[in-house]
Amino acid sequence: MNPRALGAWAVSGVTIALATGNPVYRVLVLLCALNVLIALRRPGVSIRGLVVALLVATAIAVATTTLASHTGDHAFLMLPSGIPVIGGRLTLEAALFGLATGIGIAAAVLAAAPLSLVLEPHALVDALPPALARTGAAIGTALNLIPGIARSATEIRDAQRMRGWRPRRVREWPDLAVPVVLTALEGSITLAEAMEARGYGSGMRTHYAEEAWHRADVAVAAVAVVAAMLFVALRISGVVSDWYPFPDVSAPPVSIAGVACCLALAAPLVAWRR
Amino acid sequence: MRGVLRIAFAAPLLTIGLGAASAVAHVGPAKPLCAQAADTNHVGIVVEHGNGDVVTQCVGFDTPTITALAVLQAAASQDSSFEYATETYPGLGEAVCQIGNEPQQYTQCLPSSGSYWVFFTATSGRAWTGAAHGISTATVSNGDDVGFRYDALTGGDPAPASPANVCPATPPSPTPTPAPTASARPTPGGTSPPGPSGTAVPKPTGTVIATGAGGSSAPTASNSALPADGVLGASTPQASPVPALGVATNAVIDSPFNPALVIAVIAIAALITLVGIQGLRRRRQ
Repeated sequence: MNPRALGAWAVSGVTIALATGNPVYRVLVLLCALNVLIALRRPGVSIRGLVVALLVATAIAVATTTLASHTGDHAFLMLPSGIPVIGGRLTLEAALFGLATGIGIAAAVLAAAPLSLVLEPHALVDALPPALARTGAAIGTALNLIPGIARSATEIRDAQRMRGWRPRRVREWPDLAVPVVLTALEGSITLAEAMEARGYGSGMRTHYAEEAWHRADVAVAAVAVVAAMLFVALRISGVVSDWYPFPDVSAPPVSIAGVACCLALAAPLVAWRR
Repeated sequence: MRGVLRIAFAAPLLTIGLGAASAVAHVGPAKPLCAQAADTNHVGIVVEHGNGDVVTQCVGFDTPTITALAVLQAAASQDSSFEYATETYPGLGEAVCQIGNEPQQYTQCLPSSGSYWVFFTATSGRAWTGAAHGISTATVSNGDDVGFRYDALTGGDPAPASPANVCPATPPSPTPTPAPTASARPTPGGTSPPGPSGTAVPKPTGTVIATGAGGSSAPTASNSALPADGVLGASTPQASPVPALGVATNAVIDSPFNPALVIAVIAIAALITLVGIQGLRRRRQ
């Protein structure tokens, strides 16, 4: 698969997920993205952590909205009004609005996730346009350093404990933080020197092999981009409507054209098979 | 090919940007009431107090759409009966806390108990619908109506009085019409039956009319009370009967057997099944 085609698909998915607050469309985008992720992820890559993180994020969105918003007709619990912010009626409408918000966040994240879980990091950097190549390389390198810093922190903590270090107060944490920061800086400088020694920044980025555009890539990119543009046009024209459960919860308004646009995001399942 | 792909990348973002910009550009403030005669667009506003008193006004404007907040501002600038207070609710916009000194005092705009101002909109003379947004976010266009009803927090939210006859039946065409037709003002009473709100006498633009409690009893009995046929419907370019259009549109949205919703549910079920199948297949590999 062509990384740029997958990028076009991801941008289209995020666009549709964020263009509406209607949970039906967001669920469709979420499920299409989840299917693409499961079917096309790199061998050995697990999505369990991502799914758990999104479930937690959705739960936080539901809890926050339910506790902070007291509007809606259907109250299921009354907290003492003396409690700041969360005191008052807890309503079904607020909970559902929080759930729709959480689903939107999850759909947008899952639509963008294939860029890191399906593509190799170097393929993603290669897919960037020349103007963004150096920025992309810098960001990619910085992101790659994060796991290294985490490993370094674990090693330093274990080494300090072997020396009898037992942190009890926040004031003692610099004993761990300072070596971690110094190690990270040292690693960054070593990496920068290594990259410079290999000619980084001396000219245009070169490629061993350009990713070719196959028919399937063109089809996926075209279908996804057209679907996103059509969805935005439908949203602006009012055919695709947002959904607000306040003041009285009701079924989300759904249009066949909007559903079709969302389902078009399943095109990679047909065009690309791993 | 590269150029085409770059356009394909940029087009959705550009579309969103242009859409947002055009949406902002089209929303403008309402003009003072004295200038309404020259305005091309009109929106009716209906305020029903807790004791059943109803005040209405017609607001004129030139932009394609305006916010409900601008409508309320324009009405309040002409008549103290519409003086109001609002409070911002993040994600929803401005909520109305007080109109016409009701409630006289309040500590919470949307209290945990008691009554609050419920906000409705009616599109092109159709039924009142509970607004999904705050008044600063909700936009209305020519022939629409904005309604507020002071209602108990518990139970349902009955619609306010009918907006029939609030605005005169003026054609909304933006193209200038010849002088004779422009000066000939239509008489709403002659072309349409009186509305169910008890405001049988057609009200001229810009006047504020307060009716007794009886005036609001009929329309508040049902949330789907349609405004009187012909008055607002005459504002539509085709001057077609409003109930037919309204019923046809509402049938698609409100029916529990909405075919689009059924298709969406089937698609969701199919995609969930596919997630399971894909997961099992990858696990075997």
